[in-house]
Amino acid sequence: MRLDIIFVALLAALVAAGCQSDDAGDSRLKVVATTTQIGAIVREVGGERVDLDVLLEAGADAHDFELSPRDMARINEADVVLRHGLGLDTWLDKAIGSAGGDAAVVQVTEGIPVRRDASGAVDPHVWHNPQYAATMVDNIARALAEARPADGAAFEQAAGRYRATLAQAEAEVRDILAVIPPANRKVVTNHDALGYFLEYYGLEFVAAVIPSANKDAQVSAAELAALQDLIEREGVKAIFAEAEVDPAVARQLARDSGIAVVEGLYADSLGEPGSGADTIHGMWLFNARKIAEALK
Amino acid sequence: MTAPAARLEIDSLSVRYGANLALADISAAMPPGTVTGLIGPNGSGKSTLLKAIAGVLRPESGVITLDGRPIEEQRARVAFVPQREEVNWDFPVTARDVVLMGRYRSIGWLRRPGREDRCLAEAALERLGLAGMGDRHISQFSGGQQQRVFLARAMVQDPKVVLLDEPFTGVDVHNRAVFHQAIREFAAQGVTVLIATHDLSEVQATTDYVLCLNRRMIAFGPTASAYTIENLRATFGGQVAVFETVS
Amino acid sequence: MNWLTDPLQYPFMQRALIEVAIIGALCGLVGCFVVLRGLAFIGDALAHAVFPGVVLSYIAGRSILIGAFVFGSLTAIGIGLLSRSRRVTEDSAIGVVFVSFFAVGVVILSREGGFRQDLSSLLFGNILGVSRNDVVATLLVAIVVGGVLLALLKEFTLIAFDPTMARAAGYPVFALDILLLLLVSATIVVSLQTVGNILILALVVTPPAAARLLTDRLGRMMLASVAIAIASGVAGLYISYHAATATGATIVLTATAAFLVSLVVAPNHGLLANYRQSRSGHHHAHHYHAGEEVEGPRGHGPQPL
Repeated sequence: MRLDIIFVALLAALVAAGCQSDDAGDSRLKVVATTTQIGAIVREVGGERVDLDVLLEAGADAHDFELSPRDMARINEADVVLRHGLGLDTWLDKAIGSAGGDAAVVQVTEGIPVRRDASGAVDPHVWHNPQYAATMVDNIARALAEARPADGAAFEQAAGRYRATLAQAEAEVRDILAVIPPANRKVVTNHDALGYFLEYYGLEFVAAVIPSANKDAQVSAAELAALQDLIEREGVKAIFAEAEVDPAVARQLARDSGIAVVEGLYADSLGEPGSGADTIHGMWLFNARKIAEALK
Repeated sequence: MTAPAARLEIDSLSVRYGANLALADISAAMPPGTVTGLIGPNGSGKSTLLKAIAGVLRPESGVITLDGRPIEEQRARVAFVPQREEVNWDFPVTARDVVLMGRYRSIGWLRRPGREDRCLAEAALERLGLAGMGDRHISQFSGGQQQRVFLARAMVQDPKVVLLDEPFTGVDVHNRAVFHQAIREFAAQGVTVLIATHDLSEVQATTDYVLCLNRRMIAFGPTASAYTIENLRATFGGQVAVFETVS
Repeated sequence: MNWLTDPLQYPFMQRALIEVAIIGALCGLVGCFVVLRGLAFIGDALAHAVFPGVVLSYIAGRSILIGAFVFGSLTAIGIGLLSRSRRVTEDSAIGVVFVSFFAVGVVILSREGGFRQDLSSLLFGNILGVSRNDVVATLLVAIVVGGVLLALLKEFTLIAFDPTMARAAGYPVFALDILLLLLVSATIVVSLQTVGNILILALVVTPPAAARLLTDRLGRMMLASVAIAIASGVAGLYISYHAATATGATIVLTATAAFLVSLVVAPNHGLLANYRQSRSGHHHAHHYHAGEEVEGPRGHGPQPL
């Protein structure tokens, strides 16, 4: 009998201890972001007021991602979870279900009109389009303000400043791309990830080696043959291989067609800190310079 | 095909399997041109002894010599005919392929069997009554014929010693007679023959010496004197029934 | 004839065809010994165990062959040493230890891969992306491996058929076993680009298995195995071109189809042959098992003496 009482008392003490909030005075807004792009925006908009955790690392594959227990704990403790949606982070659904907690889950791409890739699926790479990127900034600012109304004004101001930065970068990109003669404004990428970028700035997307926004798809021999013919017909000057995908096929295709292959574009993910492409506008400028260099 | 007379001497041979001593202190000397029956119950170490002589197993202690020289230097002249169940009968080889294996060491590394080797193989097959069957897959022979293929393999090695491990399993009486004839011919040329068998029915008629074995050597000597009921009892652990042939 | 010549106008198809033919020849040849010695499981373990080497090379930006060769050799030697322990094949040890290498590779990839995480091309091969240098490297490795195997053919055959006699004859059986494992490992490594880690074993095992059904002679088995492997590779490539299917998997399925056909039509061991024999009461190629009494082939063939 005595043992039972001790056991129950111990259990009660543990429960009580667990129920207490254990933040040692960290009053910042806890935000969990799925992608590096969302994370970069949150840093601009939220700054010091936000305790940010980004689930995907630079270059990580959004499709194969597996959450660690630590990630689950962060989701549980978060105030806001910012997701991209559009099929990029479907793994989050189950995770939120089992992680528990009471975070507000916000899809930052709400209201953005999407395009479809060559295979008919939704193309989630909307951040390459300046207008859509601005929408993402707005959505994020609003989500943060709703979670922490006291800082709402500060978030809105920071968002405004960042939108200005993005606008400036957009203008710069236009200038960079302007040097490309009309005949050369044709682009072949490794997978169909830069569609929004090319469409916005008036470059023609001829084809992708892997005809899908999902880089895990494999290209077939017939598709590759058709692409080689297409490159020849259209007079494409260069093939652009993203940093996140194996460039072997793109390299061989370029060599066989006698054209250049440009590697290292950032299409799926932002770059690592220090690469210059670790912010959205940084990524735009980086990609634009590489494209212009090859096609001018 | 003549082999110079070869005296096989085993001196204090012991073989260990892990913690167990499979053979303890075996000593025997087999004169050249003799047939020695190696008898004992299952697990007595007959195969082990043959394999130790053949160099397949490393002894813990003891010395084996052939013609006074270490047997390790004369591996090519020691032929081993394996037990039936140790052979992979599904392997895609013909009878001739198997017989030719006896020539591999003479052919040497990096070279392929030539005309002379094929002639020798064919001759061996003929000597053992298998003429013209060289192209047949080894599984297409009867039990007795299969043993003869391996005996032919031993023959082309031009051996000084031939070791046979339970050669009469699955062989009928008629084929055994053919077999014994071939063994006699080996012995007549000075080859030393050891036959491990747990079938005692023919030991007296077909061997010159017997070695009674049950991990240790119970007895060794000429069959006439060493093949006795007492030795058999000691070897087989006491359960021996003796049937005398009434001639 | 367009379906035959159309793909050939593309350099990437030419390279792929040459690569697949070389790999087919090599796998068909070496695979015979994998099948005859029952090394299929070890072959699979090797294919898994080279994966960390592949990943490390990939991350370092070097040719995957280098890392794979290193890991493959280490694994081959490790397996050889393990098998030497008194119990002949430690299946479990091989399975646990060397397959866990694969998991190590996946972990390394997920943690350190950063921007080079193209798992699918590592796992399923990338034959459409082979360069001219890759093909040359493959040819060189194939010549060396094939050359060594053929030079030591009778030794490897003897060890496979009668290891006891091999030892008795004084051959360095352990060293030759390790050498064979190294040859198998090299074969697997150089073939990774065609069909990848997961499927490579099929290319090493299926053609020889089919060939074994078709003939009882080793020489013919090796020729048949090489022919079937090359034919499967080329046919698989053509089919995947015209049907727009994944190349590696199509090659493997073509080889499997060849095996199934052999299974049915093989003269002595095939299903049709067995069916016909049981109906007519004849028994060709009767197999004798240890301990059975003398039984000659009934009907055909000479009677036992």
